[in-house]
Amino acid sequence: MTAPTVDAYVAELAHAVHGPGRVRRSILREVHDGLTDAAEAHESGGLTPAAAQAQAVAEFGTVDELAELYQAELTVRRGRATALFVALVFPGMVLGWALMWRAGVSWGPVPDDEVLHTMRSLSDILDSTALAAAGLAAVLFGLTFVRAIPARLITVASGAVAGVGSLTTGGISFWMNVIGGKAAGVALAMPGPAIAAYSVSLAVLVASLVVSGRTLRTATA
Amino acid sequence: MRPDSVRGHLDGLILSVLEAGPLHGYAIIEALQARSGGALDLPTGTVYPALRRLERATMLSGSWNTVGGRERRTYTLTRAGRHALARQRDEWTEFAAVVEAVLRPRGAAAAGAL
Repeated sequence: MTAPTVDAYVAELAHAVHGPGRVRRSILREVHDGLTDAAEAHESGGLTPAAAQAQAVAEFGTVDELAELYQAELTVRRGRATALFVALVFPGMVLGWALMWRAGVSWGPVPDDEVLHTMRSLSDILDSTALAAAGLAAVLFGLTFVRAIPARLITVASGAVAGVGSLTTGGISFWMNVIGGKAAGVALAMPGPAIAAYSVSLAVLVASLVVSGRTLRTATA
Repeated sequence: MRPDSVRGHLDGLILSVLEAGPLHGYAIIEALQARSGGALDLPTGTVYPALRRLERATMLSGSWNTVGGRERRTYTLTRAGRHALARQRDEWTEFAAVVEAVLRPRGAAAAGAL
């Protein structure tokens, strides 16, 4: 049986923890540095390089033990980042749409009064849903600073808010387009600013879904 | 000293070691072992997640710096960390005094009273 090496230990830990990429990479780099420092100290004490690495790994603790501690940390950070993302991006999207309406950007031919009334009602529901998701996310963000509440619970809730919020707002937007006769094919005839607004909104909703998936994966790791 | 006994006090011990100035992870472990005379027996790796937790709690600030010709993550005690350390010292002094009073053999306590 070969002696455990620093690289093998870090690779095993990398496989065991999930979370925000930047923090995760920083953590793994720090673990690698710490083990290298310890191995160098043992080597200075007279051990062979292989024995020094094995000794450093043995003193460090098991991968399972470290993974549990680091996963708890990564789960909190993922939940906090997701909650902040939803709390800022969803109101930003609502504000962007409102500003475009106020600026008088044309969305194509004006529909008849009945369709216009339905569209306005759906628009109100869309805004309320997005703002409710953002409000909930803001509360969850605040709760990440309360140590008594399990981090996993807040992270699952943040992931769920991002997912449900993006699916609901996306669904209502799609419905509005169908009712207004502005489904994808017809949308190409819309003015440039309107197409840009739709594209940005779609990108935000897709990004929210991706964030939601990653958050739920981290919370259940 | 058993690892379980140390874990509950690890945060305070780390904050105390960093009171003198910024250190990177391995230097913190060395300082903990030096100041305890080698009596602190816990897996060295458990110090690193504790550092991240203290950083998130704004008691430490961490950044990558070049130390000894190599990039290392260095931690500095923040103002919140200094307050937390002072609070933990007060709590420990009070706790230790109470436990000492109860644990002291009754004969010794009586002799002390005479």
